[in-house]
Amino acid sequence: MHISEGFLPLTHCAAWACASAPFLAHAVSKLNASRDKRYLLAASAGYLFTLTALKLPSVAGSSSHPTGVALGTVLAGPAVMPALSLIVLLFQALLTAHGGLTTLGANVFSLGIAGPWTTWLLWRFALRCGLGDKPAIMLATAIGSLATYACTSLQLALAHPDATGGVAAAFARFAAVFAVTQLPVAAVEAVFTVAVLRALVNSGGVRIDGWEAWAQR
Amino acid sequence: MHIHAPLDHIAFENAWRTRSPFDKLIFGGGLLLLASLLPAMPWSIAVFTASATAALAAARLPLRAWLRFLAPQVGFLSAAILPLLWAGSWEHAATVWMRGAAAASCMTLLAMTTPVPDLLLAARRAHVPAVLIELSFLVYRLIASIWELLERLRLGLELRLRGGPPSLQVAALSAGNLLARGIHTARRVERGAALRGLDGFPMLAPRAETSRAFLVSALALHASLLAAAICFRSRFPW
Repeated sequence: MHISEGFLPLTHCAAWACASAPFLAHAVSKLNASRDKRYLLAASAGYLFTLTALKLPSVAGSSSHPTGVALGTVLAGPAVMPALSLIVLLFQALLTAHGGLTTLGANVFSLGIAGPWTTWLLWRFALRCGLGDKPAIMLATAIGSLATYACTSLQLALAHPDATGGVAAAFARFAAVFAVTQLPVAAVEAVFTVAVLRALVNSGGVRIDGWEAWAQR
Repeated sequence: MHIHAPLDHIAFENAWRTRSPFDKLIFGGGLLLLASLLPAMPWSIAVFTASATAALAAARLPLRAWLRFLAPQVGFLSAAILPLLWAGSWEHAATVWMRGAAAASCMTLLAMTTPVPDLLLAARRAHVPAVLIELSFLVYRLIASIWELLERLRLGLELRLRGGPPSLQVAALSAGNLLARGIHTARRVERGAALRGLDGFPMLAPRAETSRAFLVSALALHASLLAAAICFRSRFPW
């Protein structure tokens, strides 16, 4: 979902950076308040870097890959995800030449805000509706991953609207192109996330409130 | 380790290594802005030429390494413009492609000449929140460890499965193991730094002073490109 350098007009880059800024400021204040969890956050960011580096080229001004937002959201919470995704995206631009510096604000918005908040809200809602732990996290992971790509499609559609159909037609075109690679990736990521969280809790590497009993099952 | 090490090595070993990150940000960032602002034809070509010349002649980056990092970006970009071509806007697709290629060459120049620790130290001097810089240093150190762990896990799986593909369950368990070990490593790195009395994970990096001559030349190049674009705007409209 990393939008390439030069693919968005400067005004759009600035607008997405402004939209991400308040979330980022909130994430920094959250980070200041949870300095004792710094190692956990760093490991989550390192893991996010690894997952998002496993990229497949996509014919939509971007790339397809597991987003890792569900893992990051469960481990670190959605509020700090903008800061973690900023670090990950910056390192990917500088170390793997993937993504971009001018498109950083737009990419933070999709990977660090749209994806994590969708995942978190859906996860909580599914649990409240009585859906089991495993289906709830699977559903939230898959939809969260797709929400990240829907956000990227919208960003691309706003930047490159269709000459006849406008933004809506462009959004449908970009989303359809992403769907080819991202639907299977999201489904696999959902199963994968549950197994990873289970292995992680069983290894005693981390405590997730209310997950110990579930993980032992 | 395998993914980011080569680019990182080059960033540590080029002729611009001792140059201030501020100088490089002004030069590369200015070109990046021009690539996004000016009409694609012919100014994207001019920006691409300027950044390529700076990378290969001034910073003396190895041509093969430069091409190896630029080519995938241009490849992604070429795939990316296909939906624009399907929509029938050839001119728009060509503009996006040219702008993207020029911007990618500017980003490659920045990434290949500026090591991450230099950039983080510069960010700290620019009053970026300390907690963000500390976390970035920790993540930077961890990425190498995680990739090394991943490589060991991959090798272990390959030997156990005799080259066959792992099932989803095996892959997920290995990934969970990788994350657990990553957390363990992060905890040790943080504790080690705290015991040595290091807060903020400082790294040793030469503090290069900004060069007035370099900055003047960089700004002169930007200004001349901008002036040329304004002068020729009747021939190459904005």
